Order: sequence, then structure tokens, then C-alpha cells
Amino acid sequence: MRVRGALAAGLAAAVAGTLSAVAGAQQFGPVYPASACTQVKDYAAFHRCALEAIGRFEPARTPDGRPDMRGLWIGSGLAFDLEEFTPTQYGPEGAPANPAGGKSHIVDPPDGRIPYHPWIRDIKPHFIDVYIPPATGCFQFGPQRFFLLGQFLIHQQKDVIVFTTERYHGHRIVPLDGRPHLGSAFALWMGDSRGRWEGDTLVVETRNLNGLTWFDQVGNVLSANATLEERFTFIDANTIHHQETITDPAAFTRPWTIAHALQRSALKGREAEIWYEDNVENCSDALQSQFNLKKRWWPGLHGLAPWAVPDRSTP
Amino acid sequence: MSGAGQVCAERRVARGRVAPAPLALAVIGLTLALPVWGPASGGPDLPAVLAAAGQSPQDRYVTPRTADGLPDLQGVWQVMNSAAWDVRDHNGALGVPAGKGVVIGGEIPYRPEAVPRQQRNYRERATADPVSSCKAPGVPRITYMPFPFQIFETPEYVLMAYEFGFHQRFIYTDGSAHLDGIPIWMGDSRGRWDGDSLVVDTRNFTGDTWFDHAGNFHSAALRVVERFTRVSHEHLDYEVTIEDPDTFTRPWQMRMLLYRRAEPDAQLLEYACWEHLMYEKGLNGTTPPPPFGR
Repeated sequence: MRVRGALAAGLAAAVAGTLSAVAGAQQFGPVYPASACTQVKDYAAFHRCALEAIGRFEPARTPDGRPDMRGLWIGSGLAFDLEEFTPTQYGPEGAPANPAGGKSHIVDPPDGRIPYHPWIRDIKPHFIDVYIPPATGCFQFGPQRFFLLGQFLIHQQKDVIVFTTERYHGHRIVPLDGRPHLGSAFALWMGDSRGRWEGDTLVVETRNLNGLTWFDQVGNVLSANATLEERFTFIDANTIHHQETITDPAAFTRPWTIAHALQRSALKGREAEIWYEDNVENCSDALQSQFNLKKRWWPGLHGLAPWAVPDRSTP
Repeated sequence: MSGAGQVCAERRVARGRVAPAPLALAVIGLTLALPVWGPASGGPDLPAVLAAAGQSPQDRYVTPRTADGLPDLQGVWQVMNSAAWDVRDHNGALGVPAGKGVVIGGEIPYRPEAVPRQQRNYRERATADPVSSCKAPGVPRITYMPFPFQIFETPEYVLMAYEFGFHQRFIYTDGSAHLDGIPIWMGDSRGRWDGDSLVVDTRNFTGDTWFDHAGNFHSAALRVVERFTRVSHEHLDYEVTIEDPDTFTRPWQMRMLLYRRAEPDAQLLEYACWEHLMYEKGLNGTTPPPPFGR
């Protein structure tokens, strides 16, 4: 895999401490084109198409009869800004660190906007001026962002699925054996995930987040109380519809959903190998520039002033 | 790739924070379960290991097979020793459990010119140890960090996922050759099945990792061959051969047991080393201004 140091460098290119472009999928080598729903960069259109296509495709199966998701995949998301943004929204058009705009990843609510409580919506634009984007600190991305960028390998067995990525060598181990979640005292960077099959759809529920990760590079956040429900369904031989519903009454007025395509990598052999990649070992320079700008670690919504989290006890 | 020393020299991590509880168990485990273990006896022999595991050599453990027909080493494993602090015999110290060495024969055969660097590493270990600044522990140290790891097997690769620092190793068993000279913090691991054993040949190291917190070190010429053999349902025999002609006068070996985390609800949690370090200490000791509300 040829991402190498570009990864840390890309996220780290947090120029002038504002924003950094996250590598687009094209950096990760070729994918097999989608055949059922081709508009993979228009997330809402892809989602509508995929919901109609689900159930019409008969996937290849593992020896235990489940849809065979093993292999190397690439998320079609950009994860620079989860909401729709224009080429000039975050700086001069064409600036190296400024991606060319993108559609909203949010398919529900229909307006494509994250249903923040108003007090969060009001202060969110300031987050990037005050806080270091967690990914720029080479911190784990969090499960909510795992499939939005980069390439990853799905390791699938009868009783466990492992999602693993070269990027910051993160992994999510998802038991499928029905064991209960961890106790509520655990607050984890990658959360605590449990999976099950609903027909040919893999459903993964995640909780025990620590609230210290973002969805993207521009300060879209969730709280430590958030729970995620991800659904993975084949819509053609090389495309999985991935949808993720976030429920977090402390931060949002209602559950909301993002969706995008996971596309099978066309890399073969050595090019498709996951190598161990250094990351935190390389992170110091990028972080120093953030520190020089007097930026702070993101303290989580729970770490903001007490008024900032009116109701943490909401289940 | 930033040199470890450049960053580490100014950082400090309290060693006592690193999971003391399993290590207390570790010392007890070593003492009770493995009375014959130790460099003085030239390292443990397999019959002794089997006896310790409740098996006699005549009643040899039959390694179970995965659905793919591979020797089944899958599960959550962890050492019960203090080799991560020092792979040699060592006394207890503040935050450091005592432990018998895991080096077969007891001595690491340093070249004469390498000895002063090891001694300097030892004196400066609190900050100079790459793991003190949450760098990758490298191989084989990641195996005997006092944290669990989980093994997953396929015909194409063996995946080892570690609780410490979210590390992972993909060990390709498809006959592929090593990468051509690309240095990787955790090395480039290629494996093969030899009877019931997984044999892993790892090269392409950086020379920036240590074998332990006591400053035992190697160069980028390091080559590590590991042999994982399941000797009972609950134990893996872990044998490591170290080759590094730039640092050592001859190859040398370590050997220890890995213990299955047999709790029905065993699972990897997180030791987010870098994230903890950054939030609590900052970079090079320059902690950023505290977050609001703290």
C-alpha cells in the first residue's frame, strides 16, 4: 500500500493551523467501479439508489453462509466536512489544503445538516480556531469516522469481524457471538462494538465512546453518550452500502444518518498488503505547528463549560 | 522518520502507570508454574513446559485446527513476565516487578563496541526508551508488553492485534518475499506454518526500537525469527531468535510462555499510549493550554 508517510503529512498539512485536506480516495489506488448505483460522490443519490437495490443482489458467501466481505475496501467519503461545503468555504479556491468542496454525507435529515442542538451549532464554527483536529494529533479516528476515509481490510470469521486500517494502524474488533457490551465506565477511542447478521446485512452497534474524536477536519463532533448503528449491505459484487445512524440526545435533537459506498479495491498482491505504518512516530512536526498557534486539545462536549452539556444523563 | 532519541530525550512517562496488576500476577505465575525456567538451566526445555502445562511428553498436546485446517493459535494471549522491563534477570525496583530472564543462556552477546550504548540507554531509560514517548515497541517487544493481544488466522495471513497502542501486525503466509528495504517500525513480517508452529521472519526494522525498558537495543540490521507453538489449550511456547551482526557477536534466543486469557468475556480494551501522553504531557513537555472547563 502506497500511502506511506503521505498520510501523516496529509492530515498534518494543517497549514496555518486551520485545515488540512484529507487524501481523496484516488490516492488509494483503483477500485472496481460500482455497477448498481454509480453516483458514489452524491451521497444522498447513492443512498436512495442503494435502498432500492438492496435485496436484488445475491452476494458471494463465506463457508458459513454469510455475505463474503473479506478483502480490501476503500471508503468513498471525503470526511473533510461531513456537511455540504463549497470550494471557497474554508479558504481560497485551489489552495493546497483546501479540498474542492463536496456534497453532504448526511442522508437523514433530508436537508443534509447535522441536527445539533442550537447551542452547539452556534459555537461549532469556532472549534477549528480553538482546537486541534484530533486526526491532526494522530489520534485514533473513532468508529464514526473509520469508514469515511482511507482503505481498510475486512477480516471476517463466523464469530468475529475485524475492521483494520493502515491509517494510524487502527482496528475495530467486532464480536458476533452475542456477548453483552462493556460496562458504562469504559470510554474508548474506538468504542465497544457488537455485531450481528440481519439476513444479508451486517449490523454493528457501538457505544462506550470517549467523545474526543471528530467526524471530520472541521469540528463536527459527538458526545461520549453517542451510540452508533452501522449497516453494511452488498448492492453489487464490489460495492457495499454503508449507513451509520448516530443517536446522541446530548448533542443532537434527533438521530441522524450518513451513508456512502465502500468500494472494493482493485489492488492485487503486494500492492494490496497492509503494512504497518508509522504515524505517531511521525506526528511531532504537525502538532508543533498547532501548539505554536496556541490551539488546545479538544476537551469533548463534556469538557466544555458546564452549561455546554445540559443533559448528560439522557440515556 | 523522526529519530527516537530526538523526541524522546525530552519526554517522560511514569512507568508505574503501565498496568501493574497483570505484572504482579506475572511474577507469581512465573514462580509457581515454571520452576525450571531460567537462564541458569540454559532456558526451558519443552518437556518442562509441557509438564508445567499439565501435559506429559507422552501425552502430547494435539493442536486443534481452524476451519481452514491451520493450527489453531487463535485467541487472546498475554505474557505473565516482566520481560518488557528487562529481558535479563532483574531485581524489583520502584514500579518494576522483579523477573527471571527470558534470554537463553542468560547473556546478550553484545559486540564490545555496543556495550557502552546499552549502558547509556539504561541510565537514560526513563526518557530515552522509545516506548516512554509511545513509539512503537517493535518486534519482539510488542509480544511481551504486559498487555493482551489477539491472534486471527487465514490461509493468506495471520493478524495479530494488540491492546497496547492499537498496534497490529499482518503476517503474510502466502510465500511472498520481504519488502525491498523499506524500514517499518514494526518490521515486515512474513510467516510460514512449520508443522504445528507458526514461524515468523521479520526484517526491515528501523533501528529505533528497543528490546526492553533496560536499554537492550539493536540496529536496523535486525532480523527476528519467532516461533509460536501451542503446547496446551492455555499456553503458547514463544521462541525468538535474534540476529544483528552490527550489534551482536552471534545470534541469540529468548523463550517464554504466552498465556491464554481464558475469561469467557476476554476482549482487547485500549491502551491509547500516544493519546494519553499528548493529553497529559503534551509534546516535548510543552502541554498546550488546558481545555475549557478544566
